[in-house]
Amino acid sequence: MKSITRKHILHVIEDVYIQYMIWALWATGIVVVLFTVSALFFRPFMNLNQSALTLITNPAQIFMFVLGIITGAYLIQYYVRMGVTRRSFYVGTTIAGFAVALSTQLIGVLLTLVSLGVEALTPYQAGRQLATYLGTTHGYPMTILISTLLLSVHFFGAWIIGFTFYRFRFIAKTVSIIGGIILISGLSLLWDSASMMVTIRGNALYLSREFTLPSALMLTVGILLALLGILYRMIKESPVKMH
Amino acid sequence: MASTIEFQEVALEYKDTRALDGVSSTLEGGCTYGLIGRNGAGKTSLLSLIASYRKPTGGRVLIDGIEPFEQAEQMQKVWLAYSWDMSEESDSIATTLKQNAAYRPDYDLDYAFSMLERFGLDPKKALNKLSVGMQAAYSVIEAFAVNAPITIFDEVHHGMDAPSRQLFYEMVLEAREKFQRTMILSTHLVSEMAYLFDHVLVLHRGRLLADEPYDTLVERGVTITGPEEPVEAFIQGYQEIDRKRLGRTLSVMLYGILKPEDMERARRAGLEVSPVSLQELFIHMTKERSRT
Repeated sequence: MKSITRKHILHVIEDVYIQYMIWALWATGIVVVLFTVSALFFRPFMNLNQSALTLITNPAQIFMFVLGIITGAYLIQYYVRMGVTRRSFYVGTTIAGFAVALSTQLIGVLLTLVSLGVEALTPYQAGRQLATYLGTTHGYPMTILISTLLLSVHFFGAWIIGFTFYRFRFIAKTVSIIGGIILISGLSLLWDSASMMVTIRGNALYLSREFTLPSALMLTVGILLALLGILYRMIKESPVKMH
Repeated sequence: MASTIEFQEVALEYKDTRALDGVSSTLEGGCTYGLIGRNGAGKTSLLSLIASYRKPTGGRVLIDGIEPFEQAEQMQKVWLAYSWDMSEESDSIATTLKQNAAYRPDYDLDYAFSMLERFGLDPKKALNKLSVGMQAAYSVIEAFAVNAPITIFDEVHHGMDAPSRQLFYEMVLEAREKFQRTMILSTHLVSEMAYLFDHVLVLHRGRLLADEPYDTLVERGVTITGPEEPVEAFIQGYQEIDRKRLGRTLSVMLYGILKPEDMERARRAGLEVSPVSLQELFIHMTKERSRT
């Protein structure tokens, strides 16, 4: 008797990953077209300092958030209908989520390389600056790692929100939204500048703490694990709606 | 291939509602079961437990002796066909069938495509472009193509037109002859589908009112027809379900099994004795219970 089957997990990974990457490629294509058109008409776009990898980071976070909401609201009923256990669905979709997050970064690297190629052939000046985390840049491998972790937080946080909307009532829905916003905003602020400022009735309250790279990474991984734990508890015996 | 389903004192509670209350029964492999009940009787709740959509809050559901909830092998033995929202399904029928086939080892794609033709469905058409009846036909085709040992239809055929429903009934009979498949047909169309049932489960307010072979159940009622006075005299002591009058001819439906001597008495009095339909019995059984 098994509640997790390798064959089903692989099918779920394949299905979810391919579907989400199709959407990711569409979204990337639209962003590239918009950027190219903008560059033709607006001079500032011709001389951006930031690399393509950096430029797609924020859109990718929104994209991963949307994917998380869709995952939470729609997928479980399909897979249970197919005879896939909740645990296989959870494991497969989790792996697919990480893979999509990493793949968006690899698309960013590819676009950066393409932009450097375009620079060699046209007057266009490609940006080279990587995203700033903890107030500094960290080179491609570490930037990709940090961005992948942050994209994953967006995905799993939104998955929780989507699933809460699927399964629970008003109060839980509200709590999930507030919790999600606090979590994602907090992490973004942490990685942006290593300090946070909250203003209460005009009084600035600084939550300042110097995080080292390893401690920030560990904190982020810890949050990811906590999100995955919450998701597992929510999903493992969840009823599935028939609609 | 035949699989047995066992309900042991099964209960299911939602927040404020007790949907199932101590349901116990054994569904033998290879038989076709009719599951009938009024709206809100608990039919869909019961079926959702077999398909592991939910976990019972009390008692146990067993498939071949094992609880199916979160057991991959048992979950693969069940296919539950129901009317689900296809408005977001922009993939074609063909793509969807092929994608779903990856999850079910015995999925017969050739059969599915041949049945699409019989139902007049275009495989290239997107699911969300199909009419309600066509979506129902798609669900029925897929349910048979999956070849699951336990196949459940939860009122999925109600959106179909009469010719399509007839085709569906033929598929049920064909599947019963060819495969040792346990089928459960949950329906309101009792009179139309009664001939398909080997066994009938009547569910009312979360409890099983009847769990009997079809033939045994319909023997529980008789219709006595004849001239008014002898009919009135004959039915004394029996529980009356319904009566109809045409001129001086009276036809009375009775609940209960006629004793052999009463059968003989009816024959001598020139009264016609005929069986009551399952639908009439069902209406009577659930109406009586709703009064108490």
